[in-house]
Amino acid sequence: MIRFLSRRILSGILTLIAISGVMFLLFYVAPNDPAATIAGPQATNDQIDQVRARLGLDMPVIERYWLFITGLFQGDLGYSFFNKEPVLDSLVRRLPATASLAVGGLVVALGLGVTIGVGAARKPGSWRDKLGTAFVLTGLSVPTFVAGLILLYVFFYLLTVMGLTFFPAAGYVPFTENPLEWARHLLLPWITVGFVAAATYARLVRSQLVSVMGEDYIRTARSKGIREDRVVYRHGMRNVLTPVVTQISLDFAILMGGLVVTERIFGINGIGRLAIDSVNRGDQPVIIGAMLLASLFVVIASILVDLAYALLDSRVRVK
Amino acid sequence: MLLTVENLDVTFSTGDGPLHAVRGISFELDHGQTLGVVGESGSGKSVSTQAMVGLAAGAHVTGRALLQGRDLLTMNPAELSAVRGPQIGMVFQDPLSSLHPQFRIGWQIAEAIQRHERSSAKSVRARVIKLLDEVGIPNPDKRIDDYPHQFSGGMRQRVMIALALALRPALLVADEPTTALDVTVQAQLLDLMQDLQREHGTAILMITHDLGVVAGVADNVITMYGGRIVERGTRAEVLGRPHHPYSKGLLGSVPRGGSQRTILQSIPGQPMSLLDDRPGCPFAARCAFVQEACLETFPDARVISPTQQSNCILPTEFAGPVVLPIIPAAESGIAKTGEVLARISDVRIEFDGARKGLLGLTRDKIVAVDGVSLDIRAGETLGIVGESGSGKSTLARALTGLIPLSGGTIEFEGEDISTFTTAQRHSLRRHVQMVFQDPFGSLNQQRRVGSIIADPLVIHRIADGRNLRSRVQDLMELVGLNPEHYNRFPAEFSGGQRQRIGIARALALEPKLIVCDEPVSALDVSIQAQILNLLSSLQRELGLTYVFIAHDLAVVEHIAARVAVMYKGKIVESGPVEQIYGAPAHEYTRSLLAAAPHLDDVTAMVGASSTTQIEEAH
Repeated sequence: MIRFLSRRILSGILTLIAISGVMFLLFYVAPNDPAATIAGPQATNDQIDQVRARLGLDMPVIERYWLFITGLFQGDLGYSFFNKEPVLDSLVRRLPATASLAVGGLVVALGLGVTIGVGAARKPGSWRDKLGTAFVLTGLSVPTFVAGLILLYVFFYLLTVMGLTFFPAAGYVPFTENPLEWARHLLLPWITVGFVAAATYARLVRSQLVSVMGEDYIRTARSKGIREDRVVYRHGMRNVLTPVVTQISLDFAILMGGLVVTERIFGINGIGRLAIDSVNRGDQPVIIGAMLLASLFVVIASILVDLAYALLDSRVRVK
Repeated sequence: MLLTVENLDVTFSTGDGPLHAVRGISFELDHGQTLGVVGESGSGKSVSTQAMVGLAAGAHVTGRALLQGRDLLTMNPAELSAVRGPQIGMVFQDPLSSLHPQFRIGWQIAEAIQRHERSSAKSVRARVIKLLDEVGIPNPDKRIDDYPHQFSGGMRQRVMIALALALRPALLVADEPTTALDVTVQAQLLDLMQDLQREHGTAILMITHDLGVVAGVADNVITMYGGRIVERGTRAEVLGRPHHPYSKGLLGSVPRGGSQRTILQSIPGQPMSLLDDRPGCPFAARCAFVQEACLETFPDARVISPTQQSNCILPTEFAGPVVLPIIPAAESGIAKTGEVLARISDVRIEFDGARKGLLGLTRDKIVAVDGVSLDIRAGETLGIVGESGSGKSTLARALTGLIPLSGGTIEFEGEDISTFTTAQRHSLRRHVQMVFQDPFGSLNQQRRVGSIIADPLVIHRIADGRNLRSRVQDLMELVGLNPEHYNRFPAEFSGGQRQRIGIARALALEPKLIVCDEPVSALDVSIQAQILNLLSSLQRELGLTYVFIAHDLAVVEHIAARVAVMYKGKIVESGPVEQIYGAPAHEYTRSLLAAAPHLDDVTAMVGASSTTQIEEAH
């Protein structure tokens, strides 16, 4: 197990280094010049050169990459081109908001997806199944920003017009400050993030559970007189967990894409918004930092999934 | 009476219209008795019992099924689930898929107990250990915490029996409980079930296609066909003096001890489709004695004896033992054997096992075949028998050059095939072909039958264009398929027909040697007989040499002239069929033969006195 873990962690680190290398290369070949952007439209060539020298952009790309990598191993991701803030600090400061949004969104996705999937799978062809299919189709065809804007329109705008202000339009309140406000601010964003992903889980759970419920061991459970609810949730869902866990790891990158859009719509100052802003400004150190953080989460998620397999599958666990 | 079933009728609605799976059957089963239900796939034997206890999803069930006076069919799902377990225990066919792979076996048994009885976790655990001990699991106190995949097939089925009998139900439904298992394991399990039956007075409803199993354990037997019971009686009556042509056909299809020079009385045609809702006797389409009246109404029961009834219009005197006609000695291909075609010398085949050690650099070696030597003579049929894991299929594949040898040599017509180049191995396939076990898995579902059979001809550039088509159609005719079905897909054929497709493909290159790896074990008995007869007649016509691998001793005895018995990768004994079956020298052969279910004992019980025979049937 330790051998397995250390191998996975090592390959994760190599993946991150490779990603950072690719990003450096991309910036190197990209046509826009951050120094010109920062210096402003009226700057002279001399001023731009000064800015370039100040940012260290006049060094060869290999040397800059070497400086970045050595810094990385010391926990230094560099400084923002714009406000000189250390990249790591600005990421860490925004992490709680993004993590709250991501975890809550995943919970909504799983809760909604599993409930709908199980309901549909228990009676294939029933009205519940058809409703589930309709949900899946809607979820898969409505983009995150549309879902977010509709929620905002219905639950914020219409309710507020009627004089009921249940939900705030925007913003984020840290959990440590006021848990209730934290949840109130995040509820609509959670649903926005979770809605699209829920469709994937609903479809997955339905198809897996339908096939598991046709297995011989389900017939055995019924032949023991086990009640149907327990047959479905204990015996049936037990074998659906593995594909669901796989899907979570695959979804992780997609989920983060959804986060960027959602943070934007609901005015949450998280890592997603930071990423968009820094892309717009050509703030290379921040873009690289945000991308590496996202990659780190994907790597961690895939290691956790492999560990989960070992826990879930007796055939992997017991040799 | 423990169980009284009256007019049980089961229908499913399908996309192709109603599927009438069970058509008004009635039977009774008393405490401590065993009722054997025999029939082929689609006869309704499994569906009827599953529908009775509410396990057939989507079934429309009518009639009555009284278990100790309470009608199971009027119970709601909650009441039914309270009956399953304490009053009815069930054992199913495949012990690997029937146990949940992710739960410990002890947990699975304990769950059944705790569902129906209140007791402490500690006392339940003690009970489960006792149950496991009772069904013969060694070290039950340790193995209780193991997962199903840590047990062998036979041990898993013992766990299933422990699970089914955990609450001491009055009725045990055993649905093909030993079909997937080796003969010695089958014999042990049947003994176990009978011991437990004697001890606890359990009634057993034994559903099986295997007449040998029924002959061994049943008190009474019912024969089902097309969703109806066509004959019922005591074991001796139905197996020894059957009246219904279908019962007779089944018995005539099964190879028995000493059946080597006989022609199996296969039932012509295919099992009926349950979607076909024609009136009359379901068996009429395949019956040699069919009359006008058979097509109009299903005949009433004809009383043959106080305990035997048959739903057939033939006169009572028709009841009698089934005697297989004997092949005239001149036609028998057994005696003629030529020079050595293939020689297996000291062959050893190893596979890599699990990785070992911290770095996984070393691996276990699994020895599948361990120093086997055999001669195969032109024109003979060499049978190889053995249980699963004995290495017989591995040896067969090596013989066709599909698996490399770890040691020893295989010579074909004097040349060592293990030193062959790719091109030589390619041409070897012209002479050595294989017929596989699973007629469903071994044909590509997406390709037309004509092109499947044509493949070898195309690959070896023997025929093309119109020539190719006519060659393929000749082959289809040779194996008894309709040549007009050239453009159909495998899914449109039944299991027996698919095996004919596999045989036609193997014959395409006119090979000298055909290796048949369990060619009939996946087929219903009446179809099995058709295929065995086909293989025999092809051998006589084309002068083929067969290596015939099977776990069914009677099938091998029927078709082979010489037999080799394999056990743990070695050949423990080989020689002429008469010698091996008549006077086995090795202990393992003796135990195999003793374990094989014997139909002959029962048929002999009543058969001797009767004079009616069915030779006129063909």
